[in-house]
Amino acid sequence: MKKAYYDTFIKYLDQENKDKSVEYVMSLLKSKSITLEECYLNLLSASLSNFVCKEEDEDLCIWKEHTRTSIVRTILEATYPYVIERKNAVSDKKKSVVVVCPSEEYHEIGAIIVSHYFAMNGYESLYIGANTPKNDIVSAVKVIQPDILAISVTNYYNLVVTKKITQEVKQQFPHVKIVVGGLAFHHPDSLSQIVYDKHLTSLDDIAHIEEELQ
Amino acid sequence: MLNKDVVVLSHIDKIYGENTKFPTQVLYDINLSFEDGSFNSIIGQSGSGKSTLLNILGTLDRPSNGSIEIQGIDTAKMKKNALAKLRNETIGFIFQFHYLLPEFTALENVLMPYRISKKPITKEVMDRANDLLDLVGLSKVKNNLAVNMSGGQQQRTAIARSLMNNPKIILADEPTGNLDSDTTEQIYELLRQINKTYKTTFIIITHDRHIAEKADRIIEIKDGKINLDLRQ
Amino acid sequence: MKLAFSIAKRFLLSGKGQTIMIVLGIAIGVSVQVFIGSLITGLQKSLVDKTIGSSSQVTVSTLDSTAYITNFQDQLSVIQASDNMITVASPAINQNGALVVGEQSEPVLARGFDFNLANDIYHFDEKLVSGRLPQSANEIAVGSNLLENLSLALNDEVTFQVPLVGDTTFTIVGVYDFNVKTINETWILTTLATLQTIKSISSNEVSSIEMQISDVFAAETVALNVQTALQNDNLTVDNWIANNAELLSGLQGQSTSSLMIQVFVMLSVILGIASVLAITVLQKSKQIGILKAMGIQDKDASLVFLLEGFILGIFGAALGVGFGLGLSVMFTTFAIGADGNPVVPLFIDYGFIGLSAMIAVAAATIASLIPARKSSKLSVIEVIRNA
Repeated sequence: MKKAYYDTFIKYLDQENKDKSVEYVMSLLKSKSITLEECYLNLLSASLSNFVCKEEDEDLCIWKEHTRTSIVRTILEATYPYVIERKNAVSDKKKSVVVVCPSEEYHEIGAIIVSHYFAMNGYESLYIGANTPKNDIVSAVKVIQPDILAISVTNYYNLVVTKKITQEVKQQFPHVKIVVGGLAFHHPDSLSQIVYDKHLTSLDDIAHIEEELQ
Repeated sequence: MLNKDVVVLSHIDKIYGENTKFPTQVLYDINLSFEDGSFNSIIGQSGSGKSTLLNILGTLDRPSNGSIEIQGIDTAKMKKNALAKLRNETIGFIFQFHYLLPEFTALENVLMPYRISKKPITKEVMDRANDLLDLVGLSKVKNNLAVNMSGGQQQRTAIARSLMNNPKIILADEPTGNLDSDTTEQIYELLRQINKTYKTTFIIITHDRHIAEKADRIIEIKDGKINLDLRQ
Repeated sequence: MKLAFSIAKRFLLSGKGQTIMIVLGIAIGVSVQVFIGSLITGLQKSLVDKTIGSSSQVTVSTLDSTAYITNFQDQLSVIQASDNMITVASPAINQNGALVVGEQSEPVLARGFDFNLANDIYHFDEKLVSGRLPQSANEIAVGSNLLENLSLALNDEVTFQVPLVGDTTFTIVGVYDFNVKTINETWILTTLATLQTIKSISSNEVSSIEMQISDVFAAETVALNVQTALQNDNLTVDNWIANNAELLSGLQGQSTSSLMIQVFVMLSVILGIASVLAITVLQKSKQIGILKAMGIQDKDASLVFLLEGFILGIFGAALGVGFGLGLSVMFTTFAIGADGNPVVPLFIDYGFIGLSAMIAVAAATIASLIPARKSSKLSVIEVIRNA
């Protein structure tokens, strides 16, 4: 991917120019100048994780970041037709996956991208949403009976409820594989205290996650 | 070797009514250590044993088994008076119900830990007390009796008091428990600021996720055991 | 100490109403103590004074009623030296007879005194209604009742008849009033020499030696000392206690009951303070808890309450002494008899008042021992858990 694409995208984002940002990324996809993976990884994710706040602008940072997140989410949703296209192209239909953020977890961009990635890899992928209470997650698992439950956690306080969710799911539905990921698992000690089957550290892992979970 | 842990709990059990027919165990084999200058939160449902743990950390209660080392000193064999001295010099307490002495003014309350140490009150000491009241934003009401202050002011006085003897450790049990969310935010910022400025180790029990999630470390106590020990 | 004192002071000042109540409680106890003490002591003193104040408390006389004490001047010095409680020793001669005026005759007891000495016992100068005390031979002073009975007047001459001895003519030079009818009717006072002449005895002989002593209740001991010093089997030493057993037991009963009252008053004060202070510890348990969390030593925590008791005691005692004295003044001002004198004269004994105040302070401090102990034992955990 050309570095110029990223720089242009960031320029529009810095101006909080939603229309231009959306149009630009969509045109890149349409013209096949970038792949869907490049779009997610090198444009959308990168634009959020590279967001820096200069100290003198501290008052502006929060709303600027939220605006940027909102634009990125719009683009993300708009790319879904390309996701369907990719999903249909996969010959061997794979398993089903439910993607959630636990209660009080509002950082959902990562979860949506993960859910899209699963779909792109041929999974029946369902994103339930941010801030999903424990009982609703358990109930969704009960009804949908997915093969994989993917939980995205950014704020490490939410590991407290995540532990409860994973314990309960594993206890009631032992066959459901649990995949965890997100900033909250950054500290190695944290991970060891949660019941899980796979810790997702990179989006590329999703491509061969099925073998790993066997 | 430099000991970076300011408090170390080893194999702590706490059983109430040990010699009665129905002893109740509230803590089971707790092993914990806290790094010097860290900001820790303890969470858990009521009855989980978190307050008992904090009281044992503060030498207000003794464990049934196990040992507590504070700054490398084993407290198990210390007498009541020695423990009182240790508390006075090393530990600051902040409680939910702030526990100011209502008979005394804010300034007098802040000075109390120092007066308990029975060292002479010099100008430097008075300045320190005034600076602390300044830090918590109470200079204007420092001569008010504790009972004549708002809940937030009282809690901030309690914080200033806990800092008076420049303790290594501050133990707080629901320090914002009965305060509104704005005041809670202010108090949290204050504690964090103190943690950064004085390198004071904080161990805070809280049910307020906004405080807990900002700590360097979250420890969840469940049924008398450590259920989670999370670090950022 | 300084820390505990300043905390105690604040605790007391913060609960002003309660503090005032306790101080008043102690004060009332102490004032009752002071008042009852002064009253009972006053009552005893006046009773003793009225009964035996103007009479001989220890008396030396001869075993054989017809015999006399010889060389009484020497005996007087022996007696004076025998016990330093003896305030006065005075010789006396008694002679029964009748006073005859015309047809009328009254039985009398002629009493011969050395008036200089006897005055300290009988206070004649205060009791003289008119005239003067006898000075030379055959001069007498008679009681007001006798004067009336025989329709006599000052300077009248009367005949004193003694069977088997004869008549002597006396001149009335004075009239006395002892406020006791039997004495006023029967005693005629004269000099030693007059009776020595009538009895035909030498001038160094007397019937008895009468004494007063500083502590009237020591009469028995003094009598014994006098007996030992005299070394004379013919002489007998009597004391008022032997002759007034009932009065003595009355006085003793009064002393005991007074002591009982005082003990119970103090006891109720102690119990009151102890229970109120015990409640204070409960009220202040939160404060004690936080002070202990901050590292106050147990002994300082107890000292707070001990000092509270002490301070309350000091103020209570001071106020109580004031009340007690005020009550006493009121009593002596308003409870007065027809003669304008108090019904019961109070005896203000500063030593006793000081002692009462000191006992009250000590009692208040002792009463605070229980709460002090409680405070020392109070555990921080209990306080925090019961918040």
